[in-house]
Amino acid sequence: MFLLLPAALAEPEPSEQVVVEQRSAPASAAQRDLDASDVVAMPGRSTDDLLRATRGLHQSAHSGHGKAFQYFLRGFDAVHGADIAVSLEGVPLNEPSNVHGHGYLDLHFIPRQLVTGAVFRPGIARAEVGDFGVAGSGDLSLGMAQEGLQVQVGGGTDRSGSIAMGFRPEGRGAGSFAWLDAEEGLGVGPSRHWRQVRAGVGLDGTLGGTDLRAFLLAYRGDFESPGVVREDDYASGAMGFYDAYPSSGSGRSARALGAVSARTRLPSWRTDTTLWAGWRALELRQSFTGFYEHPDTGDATLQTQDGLSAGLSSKVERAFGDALALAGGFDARLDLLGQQEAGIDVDGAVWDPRIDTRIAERSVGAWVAAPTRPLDWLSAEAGVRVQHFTIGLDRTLDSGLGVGKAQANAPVLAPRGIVRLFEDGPLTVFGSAGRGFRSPEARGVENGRAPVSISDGGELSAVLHAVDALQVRGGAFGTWISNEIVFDHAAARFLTTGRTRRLGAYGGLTLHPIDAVSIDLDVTGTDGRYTASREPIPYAPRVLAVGQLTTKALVTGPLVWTAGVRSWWLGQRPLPGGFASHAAFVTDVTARATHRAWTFDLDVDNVFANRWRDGEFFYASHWDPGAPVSALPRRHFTAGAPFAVRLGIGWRLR
Amino acid sequence: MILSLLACIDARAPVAMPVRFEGGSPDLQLEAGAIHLDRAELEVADLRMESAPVARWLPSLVGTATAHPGHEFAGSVRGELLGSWTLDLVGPPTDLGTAEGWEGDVATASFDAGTLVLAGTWTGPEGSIPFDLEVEVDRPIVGVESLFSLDADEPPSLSLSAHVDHALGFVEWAETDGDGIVTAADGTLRNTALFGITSSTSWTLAQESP
Amino acid sequence: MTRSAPVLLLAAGCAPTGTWEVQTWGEDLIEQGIPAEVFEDGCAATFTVFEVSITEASLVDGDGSDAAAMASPARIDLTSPGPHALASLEAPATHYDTARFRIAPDGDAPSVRAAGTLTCGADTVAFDWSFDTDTTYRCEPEDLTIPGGGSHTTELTVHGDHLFYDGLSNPDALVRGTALLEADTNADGEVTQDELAAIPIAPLGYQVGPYADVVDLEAFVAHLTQSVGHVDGEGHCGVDL
Repeated sequence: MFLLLPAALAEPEPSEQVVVEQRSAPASAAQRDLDASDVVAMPGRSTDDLLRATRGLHQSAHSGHGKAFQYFLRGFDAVHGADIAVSLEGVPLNEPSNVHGHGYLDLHFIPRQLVTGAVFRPGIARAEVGDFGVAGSGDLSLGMAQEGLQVQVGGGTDRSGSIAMGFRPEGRGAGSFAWLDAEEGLGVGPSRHWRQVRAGVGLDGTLGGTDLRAFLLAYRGDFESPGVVREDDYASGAMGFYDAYPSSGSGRSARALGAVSARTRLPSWRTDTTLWAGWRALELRQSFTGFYEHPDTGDATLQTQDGLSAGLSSKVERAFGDALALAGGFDARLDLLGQQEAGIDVDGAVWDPRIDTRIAERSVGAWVAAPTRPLDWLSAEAGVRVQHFTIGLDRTLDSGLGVGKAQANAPVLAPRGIVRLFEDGPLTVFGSAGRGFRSPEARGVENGRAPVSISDGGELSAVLHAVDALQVRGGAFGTWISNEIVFDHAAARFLTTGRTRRLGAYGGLTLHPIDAVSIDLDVTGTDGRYTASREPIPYAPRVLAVGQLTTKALVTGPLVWTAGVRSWWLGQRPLPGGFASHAAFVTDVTARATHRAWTFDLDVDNVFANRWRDGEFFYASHWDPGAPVSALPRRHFTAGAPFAVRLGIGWRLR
Repeated sequence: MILSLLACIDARAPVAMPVRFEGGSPDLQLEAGAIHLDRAELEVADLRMESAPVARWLPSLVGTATAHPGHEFAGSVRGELLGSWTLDLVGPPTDLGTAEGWEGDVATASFDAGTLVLAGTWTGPEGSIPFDLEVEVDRPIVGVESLFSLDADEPPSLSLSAHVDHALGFVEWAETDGDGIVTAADGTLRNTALFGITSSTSWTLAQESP
Repeated sequence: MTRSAPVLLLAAGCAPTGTWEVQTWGEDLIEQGIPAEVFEDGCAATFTVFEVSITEASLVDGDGSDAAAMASPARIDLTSPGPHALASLEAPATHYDTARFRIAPDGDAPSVRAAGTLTCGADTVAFDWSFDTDTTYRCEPEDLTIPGGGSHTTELTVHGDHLFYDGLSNPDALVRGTALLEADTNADGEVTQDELAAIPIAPLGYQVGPYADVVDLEAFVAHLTQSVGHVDGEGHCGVDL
């Protein structure tokens, strides 16, 4: 379509940028703010991939394009999002009590091209952060960076193609847009087919000194999951590295999320209120053990969920002169969910219904914080958050906790604080401490009180910015959990695994040899252990080293380049039962060249074509129904992203 | 600290070890009498070695592993030799194959048992009488003592031994139907032979001395 | 490395506690007797005494340490109407997944004493058995959350029918009485433990699984006394023998 449009209508304006307002002063040297061009220069396909910008975070995709990643941060195995709170324009995105995992964090519904910025904060120090803020938190900004009509098409060696169209009216803010994109791909290897459609509209404006904002996003994705490959099958040649066992899995995911917000900025007052509502449907078919438990029917399960969620949050900040301010806010949300889980046979037919539950989850929280700057070189922010969860459910099937209704309450109090020294000097020192928490997962709730997972952590860090061209940062952190609580889906019970502690350190630098080029190096090491047994916390990365070369608005002849080359090395991870994973080294590249109204995109996944193991697991499985059943635990892996090249071309009309 | 985290994790390595079966003598001298075995065979399948359990579970509690990546547990099976064999309990040593496993301590072994065939002569204080028995065991033989450690650098050779004298020590050789031969139809032969052959102390899985 | 003092003080100084109520109960199968429909062979049993010596009742935290423990042993006759309170203990308010109980001899008192009658068809025998088995149960209640300022009750539920199982570890074990009744070899109407000890297991078709040292009926029933403990009705317990 774009070929039919006259190119002469396009206005050349290659260097237009959106600068993201830094939401608040950082609590540590690990905080990272991305602006719109940082987002463009961050390799990866989807919005989910942007979370990799969080210092110390590793994420793993074990089920194709469309399912939430698994997240690992600072010694936490956050599963599908249980320990990382992420929001979009202040709207919380983690899904409490999702049928597949508590705090399920699936960002596939957000068009990556509409992310205009992000802030990622490892650790918990701010009173504003609520449920799931245990290992870290983040917030994404939504909008269209550039005005006008834009059209993009692309395709790649991963047998994928995409088309996107967006429009931002001239003279309107980034929050005013209309968007539609679609992509489909077969992937490298079988059982990786995916198809996604996203649409969105946004509106922003000002009314009597109040910034008003509204957006609505809608998404539907269908995807196949390659699942796991047994290492012995790969070694024997029975399976290729990127193969998949029959019926390894698939899914459907749909989501709509809308929000209206109002922000006022008065000389000494600021208020920010957001009302949001969302709809969600998720369907996952998966088997990681083949025919091990059920030789006749197979072990595959079907999980389904549908739900409506709505919430309101509001905050007020009041400054009292230069030295003191008070901030406070409240947030409330309601989630009405229906979820089912069942055993299915090879044809996908349900043979063993296991869970059928309606859930009504209410959460109310309030927080206050008092930022002060008593001295020029000292600022501090003490805060506290209180939160109360009420979880009601009605079980139709007995999954271990009986049938019928149950209701539980779970209150939590979370003090937090930040100290900053020499904020305006070349060496800024940060100290922070805070309590993070995670609500109880509804599936384990019985009448009465339900356990809230609580972590207490602290961090000391510093940033040295003696010269413009170089920033050096480093820090150390610790997190202590007095009673680690996990929900065992198999036994339908909350398990207490005891006291844990995670001690870690990080260091990094940002070098700007020339204005348009920056080099980032970051290394994070975490030693996470159960306090009593000294056993390592399984799956959590011990060392993650990341290097990125970024160019922003680098002009070469007629082209303006925004590009990123990102390499990361993940050290061996301890696995349960005394096993360990392989280390992995991966390099991804993204480059965008702009010439007048035209943009040319190049993405290369896994440049060196390493066959890296994204996830590794030990357990017994059985994939050949005709063969004898082995009970010996075997190494299984999920194949990391293969080498792929994608090209895109875009055109913008202003 | 980061440097110490860079060190390799000392993880379990795979171990492959040959397993052979050793029967006993066809002539057994028991407290109550003597046995000559013309034939003593047991069908067995799927030998598994397990680490010490964290807790013994009550009847009706059979643990199940769930296996979602990230949520599963590996289970207690430390080594395994799949297959089915008819063991000649009084024959020469037989190679069963090569078992696979992971490094670590083994505490017990188990295997499935099928048809048991026993034929021979019992000689007691009251004289000699032939016996001929074929019985479906159809239950696992569990808790077989297996005290050794699997080490990938020095993989052990394993030997499964049947202590036929111990197994048949439980048997009551009463001929009750007057046909002159002790069979499954007689008294308690079936139950006692089953009890004896499935007794965990009738078997040992051990590391062969080098 | 900073470890914020205010946070820790708040966490430690204000750590709320609640009450762990511990009780035990023999349910109808001990209080009323075991009806014929429970027995595979149509027998029935009643108990006149079913005493257990509970020497430990502890709430176990995730590190395996005792968060609360019963101060002194309790000896309870479960034939009297229950549930029977064992202790009321203060414990840190949090979630637990394990409660530990120990049924063991207490001084001269046996760990388990069961007396009553067993009837199969027209025959009835009396029994009065005492056992010195020492069993620690690691129980996993479905929910064990001690609320701050509130209480949660955990029950050691004793299953009297387990004394009549025909297997020690096989999940398909059945409740049978005939072999025990027929152990009254002197036909005096009472089955003594000496009589049980004279009955070999092997001819009965009973299964001992990995417990190869159990070769007579007395040892078999003694072993079964180590399987009577459950939690909150039908909840699971692992056993340290």
